[in-house]
Amino acid sequence: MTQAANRPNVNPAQVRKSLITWGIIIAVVIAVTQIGWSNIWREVFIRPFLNALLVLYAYLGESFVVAIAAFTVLLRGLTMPLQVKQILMTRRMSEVQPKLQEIQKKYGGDKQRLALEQQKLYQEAGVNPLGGCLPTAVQMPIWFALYSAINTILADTPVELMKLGQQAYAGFARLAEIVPLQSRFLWLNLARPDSSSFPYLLPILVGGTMWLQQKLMTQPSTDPQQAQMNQTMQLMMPVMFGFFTLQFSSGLAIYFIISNVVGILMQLLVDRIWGKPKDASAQA
Amino acid sequence: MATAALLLVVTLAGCVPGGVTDPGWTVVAATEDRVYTVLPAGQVLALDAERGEVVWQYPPPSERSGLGGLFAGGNADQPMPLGAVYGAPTLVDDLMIVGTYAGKLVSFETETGLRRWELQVSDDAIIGGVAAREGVLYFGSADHRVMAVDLVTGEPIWSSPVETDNRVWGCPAVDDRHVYVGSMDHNVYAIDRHTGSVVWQTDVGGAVPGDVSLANGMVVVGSLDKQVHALDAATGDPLWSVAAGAWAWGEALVTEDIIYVGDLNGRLHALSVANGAPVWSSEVLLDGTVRAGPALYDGSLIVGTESGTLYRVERDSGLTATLYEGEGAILSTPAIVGDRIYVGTAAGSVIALEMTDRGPWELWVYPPPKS
Repeated sequence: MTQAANRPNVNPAQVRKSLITWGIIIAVVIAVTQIGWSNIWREVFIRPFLNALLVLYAYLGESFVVAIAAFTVLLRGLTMPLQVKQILMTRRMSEVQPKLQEIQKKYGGDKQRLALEQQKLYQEAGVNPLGGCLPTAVQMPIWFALYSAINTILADTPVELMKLGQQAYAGFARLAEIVPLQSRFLWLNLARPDSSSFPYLLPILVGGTMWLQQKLMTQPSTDPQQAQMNQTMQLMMPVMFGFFTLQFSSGLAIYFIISNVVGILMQLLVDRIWGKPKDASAQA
Repeated sequence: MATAALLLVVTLAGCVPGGVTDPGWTVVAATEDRVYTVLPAGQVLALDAERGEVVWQYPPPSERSGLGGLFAGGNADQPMPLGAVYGAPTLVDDLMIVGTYAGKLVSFETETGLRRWELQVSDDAIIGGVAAREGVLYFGSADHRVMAVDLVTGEPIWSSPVETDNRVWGCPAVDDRHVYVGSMDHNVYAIDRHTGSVVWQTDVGGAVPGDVSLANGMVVVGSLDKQVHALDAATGDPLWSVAAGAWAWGEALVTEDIIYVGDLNGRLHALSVANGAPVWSSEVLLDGTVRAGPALYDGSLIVGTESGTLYRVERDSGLTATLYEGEGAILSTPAIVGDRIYVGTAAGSVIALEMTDRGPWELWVYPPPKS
């Protein structure tokens, strides 16, 4: 009786979750130490992306822009549950903002109590303040791998062509037929930055679509500081991406444009299904 | 989100200065007393063959060194490095000719390093080397064209360049009548050397990114269809094709009766000139991709790999010995003069080896190791 009373409460579901988490961590550590980070990166991200693009190119009319567009839609489709989750999470976070402010006002002097109350509020509202970061964290390696895959696949230099030869799956029968890929699209050499007489079109399109996507995604905030930061980021990020588009291969710029447009459409779809977000400042 | 995006932008931007993803690799050419090289990013050097000391360099050091060089950009008159170069320099008369990724042909006086002329011959990259014959330079460009210009004046020889349907990356081979060149459009072309008209073109089934080799009335090319093809030089008729098992890119070395060619899986093939049949009894597998063609030295082949190893392979048996192991990938063909072997690495170094009775001797390395 006494022994049973002293035994801590064990939640089997929580134990299972912890075991799975630790299992994954240990597996990742073993994989990284045994196989090497660069090999994992190449085999898990770059090669699958590169070969998927090759297959799409081969079977979708041998147009690299069509292949990128199809690839973007596929990727967005695969990561859609995460992105919808992010949108809804951001929305819920926005909805609890007034209550959060109240708590901050009330317990501002007592940090421990403030943290406790905030956690309670998040639990009640079913939001995870870090949940919104996950889709971005997932997208980051995708962007990096895609950047590398696009450069390799368009093989504008011998080094990239050599990489393509090494990274294309040996079983892909049509490889000899399609290499080198057609890197011309309209006036663009997709492997290089736009060097035409008006090189600002792609940066404007990248920046413009990004601005629109961010504007649609950003939830109104009751916190003036947060609102100000949102506004700055809404402007700064598109300007920066636009600026760097001048340096990137135009193929990557095309990817960003298509990706942004798909993102905008997804946001509009979410708004249509779940309705537009309530204005948190009005609630306050 | 914002931090992640910033990180992405800054990282990617750092990777692509001006949109060029790699700076080229080291290429070498040599004479008895000099080694001419272009390092990654386009610094041109003439080195003393005996000691590896710099005889001249372009751009001159005074205009590039020190902190001033870091902040001096923007002056149009200031000599700048050539940028990425992938084809070996061509030594003709008293000139060294280099084709650049920026679409330029540049000539330097071999004795002094003075730039004799610089021609913007293409809007796209010149990847392969330049072939010279009787005062004319022949070369291909990534803008799909094959061109011929006068060595002295830089004037075009043909009324119009030869247009192919894709990039021309390889260095042409030239005989008395024809210029032979492979294109990424899967064709090998024979062009009349004087008029620039296409005499024949043959589809080999895969892109031809490398140099063509010419010997015994045959044109030999490696292709991205994983085969080595031999064509009749007079008619372009296919003579034979042999599976290499991987992309065959480097220039084939053709001797009287055997053709030697490497592939991207690290295999070196010895094929009979007559029918393409393998000559060696067993496969010769080297450590790392073989991008460049082998060079001939005293009954053996000298070949480098992406792993940074330089091999000596016996021509008759395929027996392999390691000559040198370094960190930089060896992606260009070594230059051999007498008993000396000069090899450039993608890490920007030139290694000189002297072959002696007791084995290879490291003569010098440029740049010299910091003590």
